[in-house]
Amino acid sequence: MPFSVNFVTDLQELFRYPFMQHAIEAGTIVAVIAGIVGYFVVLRRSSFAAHALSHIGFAGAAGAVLFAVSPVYGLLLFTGVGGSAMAVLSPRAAHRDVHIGTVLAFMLGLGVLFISLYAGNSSQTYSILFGQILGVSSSDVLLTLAAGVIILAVVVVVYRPLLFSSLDEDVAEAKGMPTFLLGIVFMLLVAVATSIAVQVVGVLLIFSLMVTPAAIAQQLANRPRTAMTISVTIALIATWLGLSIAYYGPPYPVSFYITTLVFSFYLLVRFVYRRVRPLTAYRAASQET
Amino acid sequence: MQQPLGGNIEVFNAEPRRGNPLIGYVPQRHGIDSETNIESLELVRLAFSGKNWGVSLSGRDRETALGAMKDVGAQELAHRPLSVLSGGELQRIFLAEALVSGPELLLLDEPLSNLDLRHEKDLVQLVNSVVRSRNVTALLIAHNINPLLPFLDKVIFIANGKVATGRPEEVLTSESLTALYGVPVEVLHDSRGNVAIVGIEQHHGDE
Repeated sequence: MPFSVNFVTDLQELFRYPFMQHAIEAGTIVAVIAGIVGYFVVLRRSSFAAHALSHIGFAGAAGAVLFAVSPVYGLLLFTGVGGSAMAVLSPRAAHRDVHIGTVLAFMLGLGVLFISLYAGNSSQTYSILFGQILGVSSSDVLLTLAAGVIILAVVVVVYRPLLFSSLDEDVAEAKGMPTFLLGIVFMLLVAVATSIAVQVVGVLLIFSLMVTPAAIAQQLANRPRTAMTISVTIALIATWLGLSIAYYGPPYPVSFYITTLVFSFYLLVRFVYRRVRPLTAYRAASQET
Repeated sequence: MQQPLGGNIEVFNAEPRRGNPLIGYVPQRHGIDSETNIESLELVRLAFSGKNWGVSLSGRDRETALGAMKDVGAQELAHRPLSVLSGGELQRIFLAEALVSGPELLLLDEPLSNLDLRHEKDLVQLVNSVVRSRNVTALLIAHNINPLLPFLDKVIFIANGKVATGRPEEVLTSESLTALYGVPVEVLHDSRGNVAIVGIEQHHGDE
């Protein structure tokens, strides 16, 4: 059925096929998780680590395909081990780039080896790299939901210590907070979030859900909860809209639409909002006095 | 934590340890990025309640944080993001961050190192007034002692691997400082009672 002016039937139409249902369900969970975990990634300035983790995950996923296991288990294993190793090897949040980059390159190489060893077709590789949200099965959705619930629960528990140690690590450490442990917990959160987000946008495009929405949100709001809400909202809109456009419009990859939408938000905030904001800030200031 | 080469260290009659609530700490450098867009109040709140697991349900940390910010004259900065604050304003926020949990001892690691003369003077006066009003002790580390001279209760002067401790008028004399540094040092008093220490320019590693 083509796109019509009746919004309700359009929405019903989107849910008509199971593959679309699964895509919307998994995409929604991933958008929520990526928006929240992404906020901490940006706050800790660990976006390079998040980027690298997805590449490490690529090796894991390629390995899993080689051994005829679902890629998500390879992703979880490799990102989990890789993330913990990153946190343990250099406990300070900043200045990790060189170590991370070294591991990243090696892992990509390993991924290439696994792919070349795998005799089957290359569509699996393609979907790991760029995402294949339309190929999500109902068991994938369940696994995504389970991972999402675990991540949310952990974030709620570590919320304040993680926020403070991300913001001011030296003082947090002096206060006797377990900054080392929190660093590992954070990397594991990123690892699991990455593993489920790969289904939607793939390892190469993970930035578009995990970093960019949170970075935009940080420009717009200076309270953590507000920023996280905005970050989740942007990720959700991009995912839902991306799926809808791919369904009704030209059948290009969903991940292309998602990345393009997120990038449009970024441009809008970066170049349009920044010019309007000084005015509103001035008005707010003059009202207070 | 560093271990002493000899002897014991006791802080408030106990072994030194991390996370002593009696101590408020202001490090020399904060890892806070200039791009980090987070409101000042949030940092001070987290300094009070950040050790607790879970999300906060009561607004008690907010009230306490606002109180600490008021004590350092930073209440109007509460809703401003850290990224737009000047060096002097940030020092106030960091002071509130250290004070918010109600410590008895403030450790200030070279708080004056990045401030110009005016902000240096403001901060020293602020620390002085907070120390008196909140009844806390401030242990302030500085390389240049001159801006601190009007407010000192006690001095621990470390130079050349030697230490002199005591009341300012005992330690800060031309004779004792010359002996400490091994180079001529003069303590000057002007007609209005101001004190300045000069003659140590060519020597580094002073405190």
